[in-house]
Amino acid sequence: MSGPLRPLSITLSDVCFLHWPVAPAAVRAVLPNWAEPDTMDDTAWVSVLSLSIDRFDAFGVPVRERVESVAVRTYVQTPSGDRAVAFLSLDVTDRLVADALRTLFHLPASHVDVRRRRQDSRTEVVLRRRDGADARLGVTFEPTGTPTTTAPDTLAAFLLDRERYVTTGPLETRLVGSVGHPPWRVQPADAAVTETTLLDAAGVDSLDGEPLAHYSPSVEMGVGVLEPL
Amino acid sequence: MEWRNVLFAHWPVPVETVARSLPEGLSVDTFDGSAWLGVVPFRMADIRPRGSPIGRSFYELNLRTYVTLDGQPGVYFYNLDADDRLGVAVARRLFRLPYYRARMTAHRDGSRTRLQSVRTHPDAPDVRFRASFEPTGLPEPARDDSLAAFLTERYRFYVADDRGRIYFADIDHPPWDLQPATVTFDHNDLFAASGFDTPDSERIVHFSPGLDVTAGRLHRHG
Repeated sequence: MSGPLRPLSITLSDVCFLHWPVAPAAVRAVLPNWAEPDTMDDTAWVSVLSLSIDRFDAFGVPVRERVESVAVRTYVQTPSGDRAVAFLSLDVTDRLVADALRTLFHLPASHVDVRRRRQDSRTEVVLRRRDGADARLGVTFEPTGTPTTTAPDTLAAFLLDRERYVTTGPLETRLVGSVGHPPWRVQPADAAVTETTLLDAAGVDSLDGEPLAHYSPSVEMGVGVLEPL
Repeated sequence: MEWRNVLFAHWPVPVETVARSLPEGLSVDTFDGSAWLGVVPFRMADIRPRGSPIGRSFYELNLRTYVTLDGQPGVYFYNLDADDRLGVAVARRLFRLPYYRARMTAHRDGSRTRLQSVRTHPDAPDVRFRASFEPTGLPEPARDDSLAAFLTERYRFYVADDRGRIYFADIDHPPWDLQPATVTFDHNDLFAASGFDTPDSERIVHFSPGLDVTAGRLHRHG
């Protein structure tokens, strides 16, 4: 039995999510004016994702492999009421991938150095932008528990179960992109943040306290086209 | 992924015709003293159906020939036209694969497939293509050392970027099941788009219902 092919797909692994609650006004300040912060219990959220892109496939051919990435994102509703994410930054260790993300997907991508070290079950990720700006991130994490899918109407579902992203194209075009994947399987994680100037560079500088952490071993997702709203 | 509903239409051409079209480093692979040009449309699908709205089924259309590099036989693609704007853009941007955007429509009428493709890629030679094809016999694997095996049993492909650098990837699939087939070309600009005259030699036509295929990583040669 065969099904449709995803012309583009990415396989992600070792995904660490760090989530901070923030005031909706702080999120609104960094969003395109046509997207509304999505909130749960009147709180908006900003998340940092550290992950490895194992494969980036076009038409079933792996065109890029083993790219490290760190994303800073927040949560929005589109004007049509769909849940989506908005990327505040999307850093990758591959120059061509960064270029493709900027020009083809209109995402705020940068080419960065990332050092990922694993010792026993603990992973350390250190990111440094290559543009000379003092934008760094240091994270250590260690998964705990076992991976499960998120329960509906939970904070985890609010943060993870989204298959759309918004961005702004040329001439201020409002764009919505989509990804398709099985439900995230996540587990708790014990995580600590050591450097956060990357977040300042993304325009969010008021993240207080310990983040909520999730970890997912891997997911494969199809990447769809960007559509104007 | 799966390659389904595959037409192989091949023409023998003089070795020199193909040799002068190849990037430096690739050698013409010959059978019966001829080089071969192939026109191959097929449908791409996913062997792992998932309930995602992202995936879809679509055709690819290529003009190809057969080459060796360091003694390794393979397929060399002059073009890969596909009806997916973003996939084509990423394939070109991230690995300079010779993909071109095209608008394609396919209709199945019993065992007959009618396929129309119009290249929409900016700043590329126009390609209009309209053909219908149909298997006429039972599928069977190509015999060893046969022309059919020379034309289809290839497990490496080569492409060149705009600077003539050669890339290759290995592909893995079971042997093709091939059927005799008929094809009618109402329009075919693929030869002209790659600088060839349409061959006046007799064409060899095969059809395959398809197979599962896995592509390995692309490597730069040298």
